[in-house]
Parts: sequence; C-alpha cells; structure tokens
Amino acid sequence: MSDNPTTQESASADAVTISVIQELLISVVREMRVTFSRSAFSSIINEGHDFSCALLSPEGDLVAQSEDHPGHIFPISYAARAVFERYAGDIHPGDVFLLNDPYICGTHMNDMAMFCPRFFEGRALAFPALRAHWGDVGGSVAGSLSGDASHIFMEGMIVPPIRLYSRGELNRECLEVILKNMRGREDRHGDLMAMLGTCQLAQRRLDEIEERYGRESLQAVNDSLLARAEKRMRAAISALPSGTFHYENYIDNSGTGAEPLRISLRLQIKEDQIHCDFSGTSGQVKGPTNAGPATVATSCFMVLKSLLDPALSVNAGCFRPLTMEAPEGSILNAGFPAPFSGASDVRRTIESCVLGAAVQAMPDLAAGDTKGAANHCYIAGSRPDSGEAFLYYEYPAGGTGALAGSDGDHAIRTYTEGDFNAVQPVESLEATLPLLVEESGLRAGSCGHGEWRGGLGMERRVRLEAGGAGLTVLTDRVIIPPYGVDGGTSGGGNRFTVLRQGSEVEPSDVPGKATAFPLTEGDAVVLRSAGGGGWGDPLARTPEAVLADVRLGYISLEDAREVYGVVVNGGAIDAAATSSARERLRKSRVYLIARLGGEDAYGGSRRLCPMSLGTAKEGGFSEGMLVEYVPARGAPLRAWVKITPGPATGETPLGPVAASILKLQDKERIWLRPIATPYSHPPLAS
Amino acid sequence: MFTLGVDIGGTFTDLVAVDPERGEVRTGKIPSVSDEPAGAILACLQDLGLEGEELERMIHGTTVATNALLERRGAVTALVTTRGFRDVVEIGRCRRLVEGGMFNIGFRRPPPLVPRNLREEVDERIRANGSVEASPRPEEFQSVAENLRREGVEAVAVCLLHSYENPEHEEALGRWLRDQLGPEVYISLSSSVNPQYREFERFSTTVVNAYVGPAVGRYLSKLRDGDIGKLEDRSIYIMGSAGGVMDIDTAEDFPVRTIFSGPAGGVTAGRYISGELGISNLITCDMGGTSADVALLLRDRILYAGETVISGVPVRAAQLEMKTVGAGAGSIVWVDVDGALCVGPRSAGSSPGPACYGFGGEEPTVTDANVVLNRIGDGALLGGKIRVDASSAREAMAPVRDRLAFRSSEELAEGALKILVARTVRLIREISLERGFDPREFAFVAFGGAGPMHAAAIADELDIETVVVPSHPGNFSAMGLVMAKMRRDATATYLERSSTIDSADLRGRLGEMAEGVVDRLLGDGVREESISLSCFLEMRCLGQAHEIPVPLGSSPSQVDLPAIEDAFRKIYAERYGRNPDPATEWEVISIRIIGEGEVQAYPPETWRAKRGGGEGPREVRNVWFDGEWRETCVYERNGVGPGAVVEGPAIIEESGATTVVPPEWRATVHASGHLLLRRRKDEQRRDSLPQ
Repeated sequence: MSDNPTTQESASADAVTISVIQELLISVVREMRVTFSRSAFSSIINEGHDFSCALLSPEGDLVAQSEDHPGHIFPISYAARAVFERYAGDIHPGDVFLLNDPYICGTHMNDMAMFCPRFFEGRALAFPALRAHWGDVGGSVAGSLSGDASHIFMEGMIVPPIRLYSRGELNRECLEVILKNMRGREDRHGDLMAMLGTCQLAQRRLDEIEERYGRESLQAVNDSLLARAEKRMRAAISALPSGTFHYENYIDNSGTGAEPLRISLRLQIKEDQIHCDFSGTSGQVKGPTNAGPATVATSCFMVLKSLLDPALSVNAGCFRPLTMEAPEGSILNAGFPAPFSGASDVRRTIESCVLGAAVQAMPDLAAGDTKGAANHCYIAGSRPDSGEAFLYYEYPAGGTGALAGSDGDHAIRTYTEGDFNAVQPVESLEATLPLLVEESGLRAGSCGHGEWRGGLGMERRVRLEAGGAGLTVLTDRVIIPPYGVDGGTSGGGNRFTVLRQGSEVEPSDVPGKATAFPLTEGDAVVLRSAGGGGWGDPLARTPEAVLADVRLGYISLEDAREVYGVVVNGGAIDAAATSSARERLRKSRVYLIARLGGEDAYGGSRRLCPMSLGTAKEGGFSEGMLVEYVPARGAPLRAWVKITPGPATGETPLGPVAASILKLQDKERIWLRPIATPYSHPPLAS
Repeated sequence: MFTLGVDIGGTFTDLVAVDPERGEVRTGKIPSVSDEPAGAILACLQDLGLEGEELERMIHGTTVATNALLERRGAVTALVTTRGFRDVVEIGRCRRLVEGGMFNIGFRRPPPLVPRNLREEVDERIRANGSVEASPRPEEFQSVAENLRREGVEAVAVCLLHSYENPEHEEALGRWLRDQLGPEVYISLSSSVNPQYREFERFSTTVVNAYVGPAVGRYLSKLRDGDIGKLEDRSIYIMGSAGGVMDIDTAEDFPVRTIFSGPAGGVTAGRYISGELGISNLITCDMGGTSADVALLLRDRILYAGETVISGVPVRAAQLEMKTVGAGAGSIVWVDVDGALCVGPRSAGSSPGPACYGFGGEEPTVTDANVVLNRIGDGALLGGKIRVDASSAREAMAPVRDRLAFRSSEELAEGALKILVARTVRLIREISLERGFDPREFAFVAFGGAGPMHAAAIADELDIETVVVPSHPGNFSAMGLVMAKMRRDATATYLERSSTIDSADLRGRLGEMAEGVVDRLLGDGVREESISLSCFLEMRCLGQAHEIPVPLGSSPSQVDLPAIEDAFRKIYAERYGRNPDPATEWEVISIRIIGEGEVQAYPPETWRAKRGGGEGPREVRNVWFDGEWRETCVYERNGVGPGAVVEGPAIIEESGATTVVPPEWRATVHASGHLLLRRRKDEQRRDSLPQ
C-alpha cells in the first residue's frame, strides 16, 4: 500500500509545520490589526488605517506584518533596534517600550511605536510591535503636522525610547508628561491603551502557538520564513542585468523656503544585491520636508518589491539583499532640529526616484508616477453656535500611473499605500460639521496622457457655512507634477486653493504648504489631487480610446485635438483631420542634439538645461521654465531652462548622470518638452 | 403535503422535500441547469418520486444575483444623482476594495457597474436635516428621461444625497422615470433599497439592486410560470441573505437582498439544530469542492453584517456575517517558487476534477490526499457516480512528494490536509477571535461534501470540544431553506448623542417601525403567535468610526436609556475586550428591527431520519492517521442509529459525505440522528463532572 520510501533525508515535517505556523502568524497579525483599528480613537487609525502591526524576532527582525500602512515597515525595525541598543541586557518580562523619536524612526512624530518583548524562562522570544499615527502629539497646530514648521518642537513632543511599563508596572509620571503635552488627552490615552491591549493580545496568541508547537518551533519557522523570503528576493534580483542606474527627482519646496529640493539616486545592481546611494541629495531644511534613513529604506523596499515580486511576503529576509545610503545632514537623514511633518511627501519622492532608476533595468515595467504626496488637508474651526472646536481632515487620493497595456485608475490608493479610506462620507461630514460639500468627482483632464493614460485625480469643493476656521495643507507635487514614462506626459499636480466670492485664492505663498490660512463664512476649499503619469506617446493612442475618454468626460475635446491629435466632429472621429493634426503635433516637438563630455549642470538644487537664446526662441522656451528631457524608454529627466551663451543653438550639453538616465550617446537627439504648471519656482539665481 | 427546499448552486441543485405530517424527508441532487430552473426542479421531483400536486410551498436559494454581479453580466444600468456627485459610485472613498493591490504597481480596480456616460446629474439638494435647499426642475426630469431612453438603459438607480432623511426628490424622480420609461425599465430608489446614511455605500447598494434586478426578475418569472405543480406565486419563497425568507415580490423589488441566498440555507439549518441539540453557540462550516463558508451562531442568534464588499462593490443590506476561503475537496496541492507547500486557493473544480476521478486531472488535490490516506476507499463511488482510482491519486502526488523530499506520499497527503486545516482554521479565527469570541466556547457544525471529512482535525486545532455532523450533510443547505422563517426588516437612520437622545421619541420611532414589520409579516401569511421581533441600535462611542449593533430585545415599548447604555457597554466590552470610557459620550447612528415568523411549524420529529441501528462496520481497512496505517472500521451512516457509539479511528460513509473519526475521537449518534464527535478524553472529563 505504501510507496517505496526514499532514502533521502526528509524535509517533510518542516514544510508542513512552516505552512501551518505561517497561517497562525498571519492570523495573529490580522487579529492585532482588527482589534486595534476597532478600539483606537484617532480617526486616522480607525478610518485611515495609518498603523502597522508586526511580529518581531527576538533580535528585532520583522517576521510578519499586517497589510496596513506599509510606510511603517522599516521604522518599526529601526525603532526596535534603538530600544535594544539603549536597553541592552536590561529588558524584562512585562516591560513596554514607547518611542516616536523622528531621528530614529525616520518619519513624523505622530507615528508612535510600541514594543512588548516576551520571555520564557529568561529567554527572549518573538514579540509584538505596533506603530500608529496618533491624531495629535502636541506642537504648534492641532494635528501636529504643519506646513510651516521650522523646528521639531513645533511638531510636538519627542518621545525617545522609554520604558513605559517596567516589569508590568506603569510609569505614571512618564505617562502624565506625555498626555500633558498633547491635545485630546482622552483620545491619546485611548490610542495608547488600544496599542497596549492589542500587543498583549498578540503576546497571548504567540504563547498559545508556542505551547502547542513547542518553544523552539516558532523560532525555527521564523528563521525558515526569513530565509525563504531572502532567497526569493535574491532570485528576482539575479534575473536583472547588473549595472548602475541613476535618477533624480524633486520635492517642490520645504515650506519655509520656495526652492525645490533634489533627491539624487544611484542604484547599483550587482548579482543578487541592490544598493541605493542617495549622495548628492539636498541638505536638510528648516521646513518640514525632512526624513530619516528608515523612510529611505521603506521607500526603496516598497518599490523594488512591487517591481520584483509583488506576492512575496514582507519580512526581514527580503530586506537583506537591499542596502541604502542616505548622506547625513541631507533631507533623507536629517538631524535635530529639522522638522519631519513632510516626511510622507519625502517618502513618495524617494519612491518616484527608485521607480525611475529601477525601470531602466526593467524597461517593460515602467509606469507613470502617482500623486507623490500625502495631501493632508485640515479645516480647523469652532462651531458658531456652541463654540465647540471641530476638525475636518481628509487626504484625497490621486490617479495611478499608466503602464504598457493599461490605463491608470482614478482617485485610488496607490500600490505603496494601504487600502484605506481617504475621504469621508459627504453625508457624515454635513451632518456633523458646519461644512457643505458642493462637489466631489473626478478631475477631468488631470490624467497624464499617453498611448495609455494615467488615472484622473479627484476634485472636491468644501464650503465653510458658518463661523471662521483655519485651513492647513501639507502636500507636494503641486509645481513639479508626477512624471509620465516612455513618452507619456505628466499628470496634473495636486492643488489646494480657496474659492472666495467667485475668485480662486492661494492659501499660502509657498504652494502646497499652508498653515492655518484664515477662512471666513462662505469660503470654499477646493481640493484637487494629482492624476497619474501617462505611458507611451499620446499620438500612438488609438483614436477610439481617445473618443471614449471624451465621451466619458475624462478629457476635453481640446485635449483630444491638442494632446492626442484626435479630431472629433459631431461625436465621431474625423480620420483625415486626425491624421494631419497628429502630423502637426509630431512636427511641433523640439529635439535637441545631446552634447556629452561636460559636467552635469546644477543651479543650487536644480538641474539646469543650458541653452542658447536661439534655441529658446526657436523652441518657445524661456529662462527658468520647467522642462523635461523625454527618453524613448523610462522616466523623463526634469530641468530648468538656463539661457546662456555656451551651447550652440539646437544643442544641449548633458553631464554623465543625465546621459546615463537618458541612455544617450554624444550627438544623439533628445526630445525636450515644457511642463505646464500652475505655479513656478523663484527665478534662477544668475 | 410537501414543502420543498431547492438550493441551486453552481454545480449541483440540491433538493429536500419534507412532509411534516407524515414525518417524511426526501433528498435529491442533480446537475444545475441555469436557464431552466423550473425544468430542473421538475426533473428532480421526478427523481424523488413526487407529484407536483403533492407540493404546498417551495423555498428557493438562488445565486442568480450573485453570479450576475460576480461575472459582471447585469443590466445596462444608469444612475441619476445629485449634481456634483456622479463619480461617488466610482471613487467611493478612494479604496481599492479588492485584495492584491498592495505592492502591485499594475493593480487595476474592477470597472464601475455604471459607466460615467450613464450617470445623470440633476440640480437638487437636500440637507443633512432633510430640509430642501433646491428642488429639481421639471425640464430636467424631461431631459434625464430622454437621455436614458436614448442610451437604451434597462435599469436605473436613483441616488440622491440625504435621501435617507427625505426621500421626496427620489420618489418624484422615480415616478417620472417609471412613467416615461415604461415598466420594462427596472427602477430602484436608494431611499427604498437602503435608507441609511453614508452616500457611497447607499448608492453602491442601490446600483447593485438595479444592476441585478432585471436578471433576477426574468429568472423569477420563469420560476413563476414554470408550472411547478400547483404552486402559485404566493407559495414560492426566496431565501434572503440574512437567513430569512421573503416572498417573490420582495425578491423582485430588492434582489440585492438575495446576494447570500445560497449560503444562508446552511446557517439557518445550523440555527435549527442548535435548538435540537441544546447547544447555543455554533460555528457552521460548509466545505464543498472549491471553498469553505464559515459563519457563527451566538446564543442561537445568527450574526449579521451590515455591509460586505463583493468583487470591489460594497453592498449594505442585512446579510449573514460569513467568511469564505478557497479551501475544499478540489483544492490543489502545489509548490510555490520558494519551495513552500501550498493547498488552494486554486481548485480543480468538477472539471478536470481531482486526479482520482480519472477525468484528466493531473494535479493532486485534497480529495486525492484523502484517497492516498485511504480515508476515501479505492473504488469508492462518489455521489453514486464517480469511481475513485487510488493509483491516479498516488501518481499525481509523486512530483510534489519528490520535489519536497517527503518520505512517502502518505506523509505528503497528511501534510497537505494539515495545511488545508490551517487555512480553514485561520478563517474561523477571523470570524471568531477577531470579533472577540472564543471558538472553544462553540460547537462546530460541518457539512457540505468535504466538511465532515476534516471537521475533527479543524476542531482539534481550535480546541473545540464538539463536532456536529448533521443528518443529510450533503443536503444540509436545502434543509435549511425548508426550516427558515419569514423575515421582514426595517432600518432608519437615527443620529442622536447620549446627551440629546429622547427616550420617548426613540420609543415612538421604534414602535412605528415594529408595527410596520408585524403588518408585513401577517401579510406574508405568517402565524401571528410565531412572530418575534428583534430591535437593534447601531451605536458607537463619540469619536469612533465603527458602530456596533446593540440588541434591545423584542419590545420597543420597554426601551429606556439606562438599558440602552448597559447593553451598549456589554457588547462593547465583548467586542473590544475593554469597557468604553465612562466619560465618553455615545451616539446612535441607526435603528434596525428584524421580524421573523413561521408560516408552518415543523416539530423536530419531522427531521429525524429513519435510521437502522447498531449495525456493525461494513468493512475494516487500513487508514493513515498520524504517520502510520491504522486498522479502521468503516460504517454506513444508515447503519448507526441513535445512541450508537463509534470509536475512532473510524470512517462513516453516506451518500454525499464521508465523516472521519480520528483515533482519539469518538462519535455518538444523538437522538435527533446527528453525529456528535468528541475527543475521548473530553468525554471522560465530562462524565466525571459532578452532575
């Protein structure tokens, strides 16, 4: 009846036990997630799911993580490492650690991390961790995030790695200090207790697993899971060509200053490893657009995993083939007293850099960029009748990028975000706040165009019906929009304005970052999220697809004609006119001859596109104009026009980094395209 | 006279015919014919030897609405909405609502049920308090109707902001459209389909109702006209998603309430046997060929979910709280790129089916694993038709076995079953532990073709003491249809805080709604003395995002605030494991009243299967348990009558299911005919407890 037994040593018990315990670990993390999101008080936790539950190995390595906000993946590990360093040899059963130190965790201070180590007979075991966005951690504005913070203390209270519970005993004084320094004492206490309750539940579950399968088994399974993930990640990297790939992209501004900030990346693929070096990135700023190494690691990982192996389970094993270097003192590794409110916007810009560099090694996976910012939008005021304070908070999602063979989705969470609500029900807002939502819909024409077009952003108009309030906005990609790839155009950027008596008013001097801009009765805030970048040449999109987009109201007739060269007459495609329009548009494109050999030219943080006056006149370019070099494959290279006597007319000098990004040889021609934006940066320094 | 339960699934149509007076139960199973439900039913009646004239009532579980939605084969549907909000149904709240989007740069959201060009806007506005700010103009009505006619729409969802508070504009539009577009266009109003606040969920539910409406309507009229015996419209009923039965007109008006019609039968049957066995907390598990559906019965109550997302579309209608996992008899055993042994979610289905069927399936499945372990005997007849070939099962296992260096196919097979069990266990943990319920306090009811085979192993992992394998496990869902009660629901948004709520007003509102529910039940032909009401408030702490249903008992006139607050605190603590902060205000979001009643009473004796008793094992064969072959007795289910005790290891076979009694377990046959499986040590402990 039985098969011939093989002489080979059996791995059978392992394969089965690993799968069985893995199911249990997923179950524990899920249970943490549900328990926490149901019991937490901050709406960004229970609605926005800005938190992450995790199980860590005794060494602090990530073993399993919940499908919530992936932005916490590395910050949790970095924070755990800091706790272990600080308390080495002095960690005991019943201890609970808490921290939000941005210079350790790499993101804004609202993100509070908790660790609840576990022991058995004196031996450290796998343990639960939880990191969540608290609604407020003190500082100068309600919600703590502020577009004009210029010092970390303006963003709230730094909690270094502290021992909140020692051997099960709460340090009440310490808790009191924390709660005294934050708004919404009850809510903060509620969030903290929800975190603790969730971690304790996970501790019990891990105990149950170990009681059933043996104390050693969990550790052994964890090791196998990590090894398995590492092997998978390495196999995927090995399939890529080895080489060095550059990309650079910008944050619009720091909030306190108007100059753009550059993130430069050199991504090296060597056999089964990837190294991301961010040398050349702008120095840390006084404003809130700073971040730490944990954010860099998270961003790199998310994009690379998405490209290489989306199905791979997330644990410390798949981090091993990746290394990152963020220069100290840069916006990616900022020190005290740099504020961190805009760390989420920095994260998304890093992601767009990693995508831009990585797809040079995987050209078939090129995809348009996404909204590129967190889009925090607050209206804080008091009710005219009772004087009671109210807070409106939304973070509208944008369109996703197009890729070969498919158009992007409209107004939806991107692939680096958890799947959570970004806007509130209109009926709930209107029932509880002195606000009227006049419109909430797709933002027509905001897509990046291309053979495949990006998704549309959304547009929402929220009117303040009574009393006064302040508008706070913290976003980016307002000036420099999400890029298209393979010739596709940029999506329309994010934009937050105020409609006052029929005219549109800017809530700040620095676009995208406003703090407590005073709103009066009747003012309407207009929230516009970015569209996703396009893929491929818009002139290659089928006229039928363009017509369908017109019919659905995604794009205008004018866009159809002027971007896609598709002429629609009486609801039908005019084939002859379309063919000549396409010819006209193709001919109107400006191509310059690349001249290699010189250095890459920068003016401050900005890459320059030096050109002669003649080139500018012929191509319709002007000094300080934002342009992009458009390569046939991959992401474009953004630069600002600098009119200078050096270059010959019709030529553009490019340094080695630019040539590498654009894959250009000397004297090859390159398409130079202006980028239309509603705002511009200050004039270039001469 | 017989009452007929008809459960039409994707593969099989299950029938149960019950005559309560004569205590007669007949069961049957035939391949489904989707277009001709009446024909299929008639054919099956013939199989059962029943004449149409012997039928009195029919209760039907249908997947027509579900399939139309899942396969996106619904009507050409339009939306009429408030100006500025036509994209609400597409954007929602910016969520993906479908798994697989994280880390997936190529993720694409399923297309909306109503394309943007079929979404009409009208200039109208009602405020949150129900006051009218702007009324729609008649010219606009005209142009909307013209557009829709030109586009040839088959269904229209009318969804205006704040219509849960004031349905005036929706009703006016609805009347106009009905008049202009004629009866062949199906029209749904959001204030009628789902009068609850939060526009996306209400709009989406209403759109689904309209989208599946014509398909369900066509199907139901075929059923009506199908000449099934002497059944008239009034004696044909449809199972609703919430485990209650509705008349055929209600199903036509609110087809969205039949989305979970299929699985509802099994849960209802579970509820019935919980009374029979005196076990009030049950976890039901219907494991078939491709998936397992799990639901929870708590203190005899079915747990309801207010909202579910089906293939990316939220549906907010009373429905069973149920979870599904792709784990069943046909689940494929495979090796992932990183060498992980996996079971499912891909299934061999019925074609090609498991390798042992010999229909050309080459990949090993859970059924093959059971054959390799000899839990299903070589040469056995499955469903009376398919002959099992053990050598094909072994052959299919070999590549996986060799790749992962298992010592034998038996070890691989046993490992695969452990993984199947672990996946099902995860699902049960989700539906129990994640909601604050300890599965150890529940009994486990296993049915469907594959449920009884793996039930004891699942219970072992969860430390569940008692497993119930009901009579007729293969037709259990159809039984549930016959047993189900008529149900009517009423819901209303009721936004009040603890500081402002007025108990007299609340009582008045509840009373009104309760009266309406009772009236409708009486109209359904329900016996008055059988009517029971359950009132719920959806409540939460101020500042929380999720409300929880708080039961207020059955009598609206006795509702008072301290009782509400007490009930809320109790449920809150049960769900979240801690008490709500006493200083925090609570608020009510909405009221729900559920009324149920019977058209006909079924005494428990009706179901008692006429079994023989005390017959010995039919055969003794070697079955693999825990790494070795064990001599195992194999019984016929019909051969073990009430009071019989079967010691594990044992296999109990019947048409449509196989029950595995593992070595440490013992099966006893309850007076009702249901099998109870318990671990021997638990039984001994039980016996030694002081009485």
